[in-house]
This record gives sequence, structure tokens and C-alpha cells, in this order.
Amino acid sequence: MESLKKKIYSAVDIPKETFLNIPLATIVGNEEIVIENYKAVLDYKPDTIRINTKIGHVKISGKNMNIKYIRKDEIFITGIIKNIQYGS
Amino acid sequence: MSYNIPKFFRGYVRIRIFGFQREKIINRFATSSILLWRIILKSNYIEMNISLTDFWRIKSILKGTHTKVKIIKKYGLPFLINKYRGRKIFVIGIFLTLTVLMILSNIVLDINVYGTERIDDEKILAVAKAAGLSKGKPEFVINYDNVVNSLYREIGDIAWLNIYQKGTSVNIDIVETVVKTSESLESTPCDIVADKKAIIHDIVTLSGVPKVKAKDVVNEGDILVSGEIDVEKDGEILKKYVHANAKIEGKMYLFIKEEQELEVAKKTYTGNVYRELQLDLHFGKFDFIKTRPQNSLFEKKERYISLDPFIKENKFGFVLNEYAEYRLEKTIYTIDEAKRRLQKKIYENISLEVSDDTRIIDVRFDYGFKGKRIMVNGIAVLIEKIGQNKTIENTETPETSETKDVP
Repeated sequence: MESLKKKIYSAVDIPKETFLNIPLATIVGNEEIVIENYKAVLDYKPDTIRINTKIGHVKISGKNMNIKYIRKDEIFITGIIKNIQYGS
Repeated sequence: MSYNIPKFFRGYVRIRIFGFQREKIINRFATSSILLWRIILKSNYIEMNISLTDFWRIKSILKGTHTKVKIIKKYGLPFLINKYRGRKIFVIGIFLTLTVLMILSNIVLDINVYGTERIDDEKILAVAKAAGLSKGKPEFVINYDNVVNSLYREIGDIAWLNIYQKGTSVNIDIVETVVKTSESLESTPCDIVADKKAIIHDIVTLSGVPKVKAKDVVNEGDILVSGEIDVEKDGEILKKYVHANAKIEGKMYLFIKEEQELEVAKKTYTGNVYRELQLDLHFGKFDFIKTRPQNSLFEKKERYISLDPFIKENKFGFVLNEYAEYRLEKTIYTIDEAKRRLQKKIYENISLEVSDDTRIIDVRFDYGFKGKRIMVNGIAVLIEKIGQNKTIENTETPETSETKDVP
């Protein structure tokens, strides 16, 4: 079902994050990152922030990591970003 | 930063939450559609900003979690209103002050006229007032085009005019027309007419035809030298017009009356000045401060401080009265002294009446007495220049200036 949906959306050229709830990460330099369509915050430390999404965990590591604001569907993280890891 | 102003109007608080796992707190709030911002993590607590409406919801969300919530700071308009709710008059006063300030800044408080030399400023202000521009009027009701048109129409000597606002003042810039130079005047055909009644004392004609001679009595408006000359040419009499030029002196008599008391009470000021303050409320004046002693003589000087700048007549304000104390000292003049004083007054009056180039030939005095008063009728015999140019209208053959003598 999921693969059929993907095929339909790519054929009609609809953004996947809108209908498939896939996380969308927008990175500005190495200082800001906005993640949409996340599920929960798993870990919040000054050097690591781990977020749970539909496709797995997203681990953002760096220095002075800080959540600037958080909403139901969007999280804005600032700090000096060194690494972004996707994992299950 | 761009969303801070709406947040300020809605109000928000900065809270500190102790205990519980910090990530779970954030997730609980986020899933409840609560916006959190400026989240700071510390070892045993988490700090965040939360809107006022959302703050009332966190109690139910954190129920059973053994957390402690502490408000660190409150921001926003709801808290400001709450702080000043007991000071309504203060808040109303601020609002009224701002309103009055806004209203007054849109009212014309002053009108200035610049660039006038020949034209009287009062005349310009009077025409502007009739066209709708005056002190105390709101600026949005004034039609400046109407004022400009009225000024051009009523005052003929304006070459260029500009009216503009500067703060609460309205400035009127004027450029006056240029007066004809003597070069252009000297080419205009004209007669010389008498400007006052006199006996011709002397006449020297430089150009034109003299119509009077010495000892002739002339009235105001009589032609003294005519600019119209009859010229014979080929058996025909032709009219020729010139700019009449002559030096004409006339004799006149000036009659002046004066009186002088033989006993005069003169004011001698003691140097004491008393100041009193009154409040004028239009329906009556009320004394505020009274300082002068009774049974003394005073010369009063009044100064009005109006509390209403828009009303010209002094009807509402403070009146500051200054009383200068004086004593009356009697002076008795002899008849000769009185006569000398009268003659001095007569000469002063004559100098005020006549121009600088007038010669005073003789002054005769005729004295009379009435009780303790001496009166004098002064007759001054004056010689002064008379005659002014009057343009000849409808000249068929206007000529340029010819200065040869014509008998």
C-alpha cells in the first residue's frame, strides 16, 4: 500500500512529506535545522538531540544544541551542527 | 522576532519545570499542540516560554507526573493591564494626553509672513483669514488653493506666492512685484499737479509748460506744469507730450493750538512696585494675591496671560498687575515760563507735521488766558516743495523725455 501510494504521488508530482508524513529537514548552514513531521523527542542534551520520525531515529550531534521552539508538527533546533545521522 | 509582537499582545510566561524526564515533558506539550520556545535545558529543570492560554492547559497535561512548575517571568499586555488596573485615572490620563497632543499638532497655531517690504502683513493675514486660513483652525479644513487665489486677487503687488505647513505653523512666502525704475518713469508723459493747497513761492520749469507763477494760489489737484505742448509744424498745430519736470515751492500756513496749566501736579515715582495676580474667568475676575498698600497713588500696568490661545480677546487667564507707586508734586510756573513751555510744544508739533526739507520762515504766537491756564494759537509760515507727477492718459503721440526748456 505504501509503495502504491509512493508511485501515485510521484506520478502526480505531489510532495511526499505532505501525504506520507515523511520527515522534512531544512538545514540553514550548520547552525539551524527545522524538522517537520516528527513523532517525539527521544533525547535532548547540549551535544545531541535525537528525534523519532516515521522512517526511524534522526540524531543531530554538535555543540550547544538547543531547541528554539517546538510545535506539534515542527521542531527548530539551533547550535553548531556537526553530524546528522539517520538510523532505525 | 517577527512573531513577538502578537505574542506580546496575547501574553506569555517563562516557566521552569522541575522533576520528570525533560524529553517527555516536551513531547507531551508538543502532542497537545502547545507551542514552546526558547527552551533551555539545565541539570535538574527545564525552562521554556509558553503562551498564557497554553499555560492554563499544562496543569491537566502534567497531572500525575510529580513535576513542579514555577513561573519565572510574565510578559505581555494582559499582565500590564492587570498591573495598572488600580490606576485607571493614570492610564486614562496618558491616553487623553496623547489624544490632545495629536489633535493640537493638527491645528494651526501660528501664521508667518515672509518676503514683504511694501505690502502690510496685517492685510495679508486679513485676506487669508477671510479665505479660511486663521489661527486655531484644523489643518485639514483649510483649502490652501482658495487662500492663494484670494491673495493674488485681493493684493495686486504679489508676483509669486507660496503657502506651506511647517509643524503647527503655516508660512506664507511672498515675492513682491518690482516697482518701475526712475528710468522708465522719466519717459512717461505727465503733468505736475499740486498735492496740497499753497501760495506759489517759486517755480523753475525744466520741462513742460508752466500754468502758474509766483504768488498764485493753488488748490490740491491744480495743474502747475503741463506736459502737453503745442508744436507748430508745416502750418499745423500738433500736440506733443513730455514728462513735465520743475522745481516748485509753495508757501503754507500751519495752525497749531496748545494749552499749559500754570499749576501742574507732577508724578514723582517712589521706586516701589507692587505685583498682584488675578484670575479672569470671563464672568468675573478674582484676586489671588494682593500686595499694595491702601491710600497711595499707583500707576497700573496690566499683563494678560491667556489660558486659551485660540481666543484673541482676553477672556480666560491670569492677569498680572504691576503697580508703580508715585507722589504728586505741585509745580507753579510763572507766565514767562509757561510761555516758553508752550513755544517749545508748538515747535515740537510743527516738526512732527512737516517733512525734513520744509523751511520754517516764521512762527507767530497769540496768547490767551483762562483762569489758571494759558493758551496759545501758533501760526507757522512754511516753504516746502509741492507738486507730484500725474500721468497723462491717452496720449496719441507719446514722446520720450525731452529736457529742453519750453517757454
